[in-house]
Amino acid sequence: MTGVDVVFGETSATDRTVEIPLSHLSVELGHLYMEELVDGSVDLAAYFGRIASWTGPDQLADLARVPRSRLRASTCVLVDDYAAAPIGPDVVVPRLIAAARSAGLTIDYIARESGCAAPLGGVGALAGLQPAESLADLVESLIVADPAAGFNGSRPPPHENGWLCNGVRSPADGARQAMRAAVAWQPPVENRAHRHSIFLDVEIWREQASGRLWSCPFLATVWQLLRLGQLRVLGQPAVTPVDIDPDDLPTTWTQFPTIARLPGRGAPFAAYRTLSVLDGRFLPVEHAVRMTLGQVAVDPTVAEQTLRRAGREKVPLPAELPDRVGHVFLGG
Amino acid sequence: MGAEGGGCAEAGDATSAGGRSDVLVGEVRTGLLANSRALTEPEATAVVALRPGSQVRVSVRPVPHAVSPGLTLGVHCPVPSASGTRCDGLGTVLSRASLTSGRLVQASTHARIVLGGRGPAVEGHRPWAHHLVHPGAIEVVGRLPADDLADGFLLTATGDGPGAVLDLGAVCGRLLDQVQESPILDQKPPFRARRTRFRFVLLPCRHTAAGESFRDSGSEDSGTTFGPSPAPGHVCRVDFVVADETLRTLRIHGSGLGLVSVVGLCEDLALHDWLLTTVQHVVAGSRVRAGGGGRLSSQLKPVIDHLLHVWMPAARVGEELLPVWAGLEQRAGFSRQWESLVGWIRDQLALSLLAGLGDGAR
Repeated sequence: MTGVDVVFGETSATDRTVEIPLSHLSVELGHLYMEELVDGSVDLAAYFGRIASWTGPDQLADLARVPRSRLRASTCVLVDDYAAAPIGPDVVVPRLIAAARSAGLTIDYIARESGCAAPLGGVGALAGLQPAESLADLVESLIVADPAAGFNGSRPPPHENGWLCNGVRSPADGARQAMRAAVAWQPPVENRAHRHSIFLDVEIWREQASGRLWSCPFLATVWQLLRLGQLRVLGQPAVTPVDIDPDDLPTTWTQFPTIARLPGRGAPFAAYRTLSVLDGRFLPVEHAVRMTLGQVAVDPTVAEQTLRRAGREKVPLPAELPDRVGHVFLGG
Repeated sequence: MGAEGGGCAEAGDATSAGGRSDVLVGEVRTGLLANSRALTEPEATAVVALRPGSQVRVSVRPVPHAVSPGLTLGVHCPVPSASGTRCDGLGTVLSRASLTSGRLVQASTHARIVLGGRGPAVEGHRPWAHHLVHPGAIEVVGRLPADDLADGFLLTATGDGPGAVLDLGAVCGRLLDQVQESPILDQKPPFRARRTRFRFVLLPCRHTAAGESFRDSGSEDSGTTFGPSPAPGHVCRVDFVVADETLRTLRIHGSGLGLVSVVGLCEDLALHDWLLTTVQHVVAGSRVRAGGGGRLSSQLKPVIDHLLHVWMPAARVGEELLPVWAGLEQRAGFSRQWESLVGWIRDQLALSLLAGLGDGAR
């Protein structure tokens, strides 16, 4: 009798994880608070003009580490509509497009921040599994906190009630008062600090009567992960850009897609790397974003797919997510 | 290695040059699902859907099997050592929960401990994001012999408190509790059965050169290797010990083995060991109570209903690891013992039927 190689497989037993199109670089053309768009205190044309001087094709090709002739870069703007949105897409979007155009910039995608916290519809319903409630919930479930020295798994990981930090907090006042002897103040400590600690403690969410309120830095982290193409819900892309007609825009943001694609020849929304050109006042937010990104463990299949594709395309790509995120902070 | 009770020698001395080895350590806990009947496939899937948005792996042959997504936990603590050498490790452990036949629940936790490495990674200056790129790996600062680590892990009780070593059992136990506390379950198991603990280590073959290593657990299909590319995987030696009523230990020496396959093998062995242990316990109890008259002990019924059909040794075990099962069958006689137990139960069943017929004829 001759031996026969038998391979048995069941398709449902293996993960199916969909790949999504990727540009080399996702360029965020500034960020403005909703109040600034409402009161018109910002000269938008001048604002985009300053951003344009940092986003020339040579600069972008350099940052993406590809020759200019091969560069696929898409541009995007995130509208800050989560806390309050007194004016709708029909007012904001044409204004942004026109101001950017006057500075020689093209906006390929416009996203709304509230989309990162909104219920996820559709995806996964067929699979009979409960999908994540929102993109923010999805990303929170991916956090693997940087452990403090001594954490050996014998207790559950400390639950910080909506806070995430990069080290060990200073002991709380209550703990000191509980002990009779006065205990000297102890500083917080950054994990693996370079000589001195730069301790950072970031609010991820806050419970309110109306439900959970996600923090701006955390939604900005979700935004970076979307731009890096790393989020999936049950193996499907968490969000897919939706085409919009700039001449037929809704009046409220809830009617606007989470990520809208404007007409044109824009490269894919998600990219191997991101660049955000922002006012310097956003530095603390982006510091929090980098710290949080460094504690997010995305689906290993997605991580591996991305690295493999970059390798095939001969695009140098760091494995660590925070290293894929670039910033330019503009002075006043 | 370091002086007795002292710390680790600094990495980078002459003996450690280039010498890097990985040791896979893990624990599987197995128990009876806290539910009165076997779960359907959708129910089983929902119970192990432990992370929103992540997929559950489901297979139906040869027995229904649902596996949770991998769960990652960061740890920063000394790794076990039989000699008491203290070497700090930093990285993550991976856990998953699974249901078999809608009846049996398992939690398993493992980590690949990277010993004797050099450079910034193990010196502790790499950012945390680096450790998340290789989930399930713990990088150890300093030198610790692989056997010292393995003995420490398999034999030492772990605990809490300052300076306590890595406690995979606690991570595993919490995960099993989490599954058992699922609101889908009615908390009424058909009979009482003890949980078993199955600890395992995978060490390099004794004769292989330093530097040889295993395949990365995170890339089952990509063939990523650490160190020189190993020959097709093989197993050199296996030690299986029934340490006490609920603890079993398995030590495998092998090379070129996929870590995911080894974890799968250990889950399969733990499952069958639990079946054997549990049925043996029930049969022993029934034998004592068997008061003649040919009546079937009430304890045997749930075993027949819920467990006998689950015995499917090596169903999900990769080819390179089949010799481990074969060897254990030969020495420990898993299947021989199982068949003997099943035979006894069937005899009791036949006797009770005959007795029932006799009663009817009277």
